[in-house]
Amino acid sequence: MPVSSDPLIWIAAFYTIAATSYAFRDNILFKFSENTYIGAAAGHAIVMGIKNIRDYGWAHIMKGEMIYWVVFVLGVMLYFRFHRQYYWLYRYPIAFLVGNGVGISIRAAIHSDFIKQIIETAKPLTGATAFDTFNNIIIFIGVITALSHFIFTYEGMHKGTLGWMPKVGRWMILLALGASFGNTIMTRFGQYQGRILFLLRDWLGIVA
Amino acid sequence: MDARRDIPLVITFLVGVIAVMDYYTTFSAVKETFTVIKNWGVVLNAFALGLGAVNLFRVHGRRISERKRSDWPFSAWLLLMLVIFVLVGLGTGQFDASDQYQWIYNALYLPIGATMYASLCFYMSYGAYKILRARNLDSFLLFVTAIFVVLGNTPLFPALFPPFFHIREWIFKAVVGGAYRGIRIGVGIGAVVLGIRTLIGMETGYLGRR
Repeated sequence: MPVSSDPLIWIAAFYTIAATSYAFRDNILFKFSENTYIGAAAGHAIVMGIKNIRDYGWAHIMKGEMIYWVVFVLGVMLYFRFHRQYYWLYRYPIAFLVGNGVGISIRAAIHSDFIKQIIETAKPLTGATAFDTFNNIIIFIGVITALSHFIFTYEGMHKGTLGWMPKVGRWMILLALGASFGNTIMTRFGQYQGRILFLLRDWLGIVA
Repeated sequence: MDARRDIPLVITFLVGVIAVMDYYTTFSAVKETFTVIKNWGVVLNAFALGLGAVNLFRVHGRRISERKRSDWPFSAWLLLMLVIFVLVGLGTGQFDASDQYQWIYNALYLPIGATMYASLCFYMSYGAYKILRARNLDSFLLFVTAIFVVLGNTPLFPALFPPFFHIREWIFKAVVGGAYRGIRIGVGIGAVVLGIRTLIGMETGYLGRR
């Protein structure tokens, strides 16, 4: 396969090498790619933001839903953050965003972090095979002990008779964090492999 | 009632309660109101992005005008990139769907973003080298699962020693599954408590200065 003649591939290859160059030391090429990325990311976010304003706000006003003018007023109020005297007006839209975010996160937490996890745990320990039963016991011990590690309101939890539970919990958490860390490293290496493959295949045409 | 502090707290409470009620009730009035709130949230988030852009222009515009720092041309380049993306996105009238926008997106944003994210593998490897040493029981536990997962993820080790793959699978199923479930329940309780405290006005950090 010949070397690519597509300018897009050449620019992407240049930026791939420039962004990687930081692994050796901070340099002008990396700074160039870094600032390109921040500018592009901010520009992209603004474009998508304006698209969302059109689709989720302006489109409703066009359909005659005049209540949507309120959100445009709230949106403009965000910019009072820069005003010395009336800066407090930005609190109204922020309060709205916080209320919305908190409300959604409460329901999500109750459902997926609480109820669903308890349902998954509150199952018979005996499995189809002896190994499944062993796994279920390990999982049960992991849940109970890891949970006990986060109980700070009862001092006796971390001392005396019950003191072994949070200790085992900490060991379980460390085992889990080690596995997650190892997995994250390998995921990043997999992604880096993708970038190397892009250079060798799409740009230089060395590999098929 | 203080318009500067109390009304925002009331807004937070009402919006949050409606968002929670939408999940637990079937009243059509609540459902319709929450649909409007969700749309407003998307629009307000978009306006907030503009706030970030204004800040970028303030900070980098100052650097360009003062020219005290040697890297001020990078600030000019950053703002130029921002303007190019916005002009191409809005100029074509198709936002991110136009061919021109897709071209600059695939040439600039995508390769740099993917490479920067992937390049963290070097620093994580260095971090692993520093951290994963069996100095005591705690660090040994961290080390032992990490090494099994790393080696189990490579093509070579499971090929030479097949149990590596199964050990990796077992670690994720039993050990990670159990411990993370405990962590998630703890995080869930924390999120609900913090959320309720925010809704009832006990957490007011988001309102900023007095």
